[in-house]
Amino acid sequence: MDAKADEEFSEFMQGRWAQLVRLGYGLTGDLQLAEDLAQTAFARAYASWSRVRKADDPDAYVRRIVVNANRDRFRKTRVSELLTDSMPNLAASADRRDDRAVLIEALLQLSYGQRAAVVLRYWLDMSETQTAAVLGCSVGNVKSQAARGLAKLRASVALEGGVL
Amino acid sequence: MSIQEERELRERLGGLLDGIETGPAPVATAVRRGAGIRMRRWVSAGVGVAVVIGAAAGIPAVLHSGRTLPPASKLRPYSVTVSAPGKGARPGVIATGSVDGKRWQATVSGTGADVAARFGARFPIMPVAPVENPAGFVSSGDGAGDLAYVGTVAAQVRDFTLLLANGKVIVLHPQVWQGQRYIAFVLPVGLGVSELAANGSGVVLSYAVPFSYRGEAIFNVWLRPDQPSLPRATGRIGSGVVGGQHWSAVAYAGIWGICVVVTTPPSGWTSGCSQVSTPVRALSLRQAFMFGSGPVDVGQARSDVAYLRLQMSGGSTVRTPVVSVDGTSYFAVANSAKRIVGWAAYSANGTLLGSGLGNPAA
Repeated sequence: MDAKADEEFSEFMQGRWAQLVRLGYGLTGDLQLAEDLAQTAFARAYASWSRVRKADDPDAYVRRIVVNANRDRFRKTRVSELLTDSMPNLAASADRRDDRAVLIEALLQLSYGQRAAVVLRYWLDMSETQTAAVLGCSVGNVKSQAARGLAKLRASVALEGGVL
Repeated sequence: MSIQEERELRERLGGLLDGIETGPAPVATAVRRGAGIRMRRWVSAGVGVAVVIGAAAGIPAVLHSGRTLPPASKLRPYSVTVSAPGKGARPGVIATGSVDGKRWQATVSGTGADVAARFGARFPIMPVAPVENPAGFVSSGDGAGDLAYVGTVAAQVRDFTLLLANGKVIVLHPQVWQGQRYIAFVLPVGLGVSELAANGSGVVLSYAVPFSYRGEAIFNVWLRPDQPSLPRATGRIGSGVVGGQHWSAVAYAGIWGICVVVTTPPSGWTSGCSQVSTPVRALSLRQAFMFGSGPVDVGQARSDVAYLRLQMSGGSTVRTPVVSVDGTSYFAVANSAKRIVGWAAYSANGTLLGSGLGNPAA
């Protein structure tokens, strides 16, 4: 890659690093993992930089890699995760955690699709169409995932007494 | 959700995520890794050519050496069919079939790393797995008792033989979509998979006896027909309480490799498998399994490690036993809101064997 392209990439990465790490944190609840995911996304972006730099929305490209890389991480390391009807009861210790811990724990209890939809829609303020593009699903799926995720968040024992 | 509630959620999410402090962007590292990815792509392309040339030259595959198949069990008489798409099927259809009369059709769509599989409205859309040898699988349930599987198939595999627990044999023929080959099938949760064999031209290339837990088959380790497998062993590797919730982790070793199930009663559970088929020999502790949204991290340790002392972000220290299951040592740690910032490994007589920063299971 030539020096100009390297410079473009460096600027691109520096401008988006913090946001992508935060997206990863919203998806995983683990800062180290989030940084790994963000770095993976930028490494893949660099590997395909000639294509990424010409893309209509390079931001969507790296966000999609973070979302997919985290999904791959589930597949590769755990191979499977089946969601259950009832979630662990967190009421006993909820009052001992600060608001941030309570919220991230509630987020982590959502299914992966619901969590990703909620974080993309309500933190990154992405439209349903943009969210669908990042998640690789239909707009209808985004609507239902986000609605279910919000309903679960609201119903979460851990968030009772909060603002939701 | 009202507009007010939505606004408050945005504020709380903003408070959570915008407050995350990050260091400077590691541009040099990303560039180095990205350059490595590009290099591997080129190398892979070269290897792919070599495999095709080898097959064309008639290099013999591994011979199937008389492994015994499990006997058919007496199960509810499920009716399961899987067929290749008929002529005239629309592009992207990779298989059709039925489970007890309920018909399904598997399609793939998308390009590159964003290919997804659909099995109709009752199943969620699944991103397909990266291609592995002989296949990488992803599965998902419909919540009503059926599980859909889609596999991304390696080039050298001609077809697969799926042996179900009721003795039924189904041949799966890979279908091509945009240069990549896929197989798909749907099974009832109550009907297990005894074996899945990958066939070349007249020979079995490899086979997998999946790890099954609550009906889901996990194709973890693929063995050549003459390759020995791990002996079967089971052991509880940890238990405790996190967030007021009891948890327990059990390791299952066997022909499927090593799989761990973490349960959080009454009904929560997560399973994960490692492709490790021999005991870990390095001193360093390493992660074999990680349950991203679950309550527990599970890792492996060298066999002479008896216990760990974990330093938590809150300043406390947690002693975690290391348990051996058939020669492989495991530990399981509750992964609560507190982060593990350091670890030290000790032998049974208290000798310090090693230490490090961060989570030993990460």
